[in-house]
Amino acid sequence: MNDKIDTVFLEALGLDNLDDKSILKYNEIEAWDSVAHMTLIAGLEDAFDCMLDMDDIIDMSSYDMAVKIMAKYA
Amino acid sequence: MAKLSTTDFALLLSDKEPDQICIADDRNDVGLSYRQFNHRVTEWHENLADPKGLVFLYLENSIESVAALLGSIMADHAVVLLDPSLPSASREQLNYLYQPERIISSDNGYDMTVSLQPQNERIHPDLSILLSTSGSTGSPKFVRLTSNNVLANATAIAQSLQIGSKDVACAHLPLHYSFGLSVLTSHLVAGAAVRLTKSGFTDRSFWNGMKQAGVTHLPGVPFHFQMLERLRYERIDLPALRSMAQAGGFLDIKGRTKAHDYMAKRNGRFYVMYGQTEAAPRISTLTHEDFTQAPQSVGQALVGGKLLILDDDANPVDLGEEGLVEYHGPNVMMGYAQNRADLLRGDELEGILRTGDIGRMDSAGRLTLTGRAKRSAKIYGLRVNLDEVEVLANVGANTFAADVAVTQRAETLIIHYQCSDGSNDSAIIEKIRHLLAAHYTLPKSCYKFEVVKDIPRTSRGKIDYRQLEQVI
Repeated sequence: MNDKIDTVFLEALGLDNLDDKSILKYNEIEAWDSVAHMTLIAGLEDAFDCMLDMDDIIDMSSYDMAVKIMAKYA
Repeated sequence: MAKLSTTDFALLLSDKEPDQICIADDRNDVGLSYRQFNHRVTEWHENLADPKGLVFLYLENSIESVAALLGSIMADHAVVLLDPSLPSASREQLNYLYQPERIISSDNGYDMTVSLQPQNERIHPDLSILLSTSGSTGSPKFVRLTSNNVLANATAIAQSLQIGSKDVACAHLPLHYSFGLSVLTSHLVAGAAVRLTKSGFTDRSFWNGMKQAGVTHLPGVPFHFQMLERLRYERIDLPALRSMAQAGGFLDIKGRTKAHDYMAKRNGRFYVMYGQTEAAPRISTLTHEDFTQAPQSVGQALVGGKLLILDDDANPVDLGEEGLVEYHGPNVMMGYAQNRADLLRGDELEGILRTGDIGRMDSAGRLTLTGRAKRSAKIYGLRVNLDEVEVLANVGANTFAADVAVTQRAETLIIHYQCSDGSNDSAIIEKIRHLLAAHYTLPKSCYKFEVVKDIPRTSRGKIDYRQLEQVI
């Protein structure tokens, strides 16, 4: 599951690597703005073949939260 | 409905129901009544009372920013509305070119401080508001507007969207952006309330705040409607919502239809609007009722305005034929400004705006846009001059002997760069990225880089953008 999430993160945020996942926070790093957020959500929905709830979309404010939330859909 | 003939900014607040809520923001969500807010504006007005000068206002979506804006206008200054996230290099260039008498900005996002500069050259007495043509860039080219341009447009918008004193606007669009400004003015003209916010659709505080404020009107650019679709319309928890309006670029028919159907289902209205900053900014509106007949259209000209479709020799084309879109109305700007000296110029357009858009008209006077005569794009509702980006990207790439061309694909700018000598790609990208970020406030994810062996050229040696757009 984490591999799938990693792939989506790399692509949606346009990152070279995920060496430090603790810094991956919405609106705190340049690459993760509201536009990238929507790309990320679309990518996760595709990868997990699911429809995320509004609450989940809003709560997904860090890499760790994404892992926690996507566990429900895995 | 409120009095709709006001041409004086002072009347904007003083002829309204004094105890009605006028304006609220994230810090003061209860808000100020028209009486209380008028008092704040009057204080600004009095503090700024001296000979007409130029004010640079870095305005936030906050009550105090709007008070500073209206106070400056009432004190008869000319106010430039600027993006508070503008990088300092752009700010310095603007200061140099325009030499403002005052710079008003905020350190904490709410309280506004004023810095005073020496008095400078004279300004045209009618000049009141200046807006950036792009919003996204630190471009020094501004649109020159009179108070009458802005108020005439606000009044016509209030009429076409049927805004009444019971309405509450969700003012989440930046106020330095002409669409965001028009949401504010069209609601104040109608004696309605405005709930300013700095938060967005992906913040929980946004949805809680807007629900609590009882917002009735939600405006957005195409990106916002794409987000709403993803968040799912059925989940929107705004019980008082009764209208949505889309402007700032082209939302595809599917996206428009979803928004229309959602509002229809809850007995509300969905509007598609077209405008340009040069028209302060609204030009036409497609009403909710007309949507099913002409879902691809941007509707009829606003009250008091007129739309014409012309051929290359400026003669009207036959009904239904494509041509250049020209707009006539009381909201058309005086002209552009590129520096301080231009601020003394009078009205150079006399109410006639060549939009640079291409479109056709149906028998009901509804306009459908089909293209753009010039190379410009709209990214998340912000107009971007592709040629300007291209020049800058080439500056960034030059040290590596690369050749760069820029095109638009959906909501991204594609930066095609030619690498014939095998220079390090990531170094070029980094250089260009850095330079673009220093000049523009577009989201970083808007830039996509693509390597090409050669930039294709036409037989005349010009860059062949059509061919570039097809390379994926």
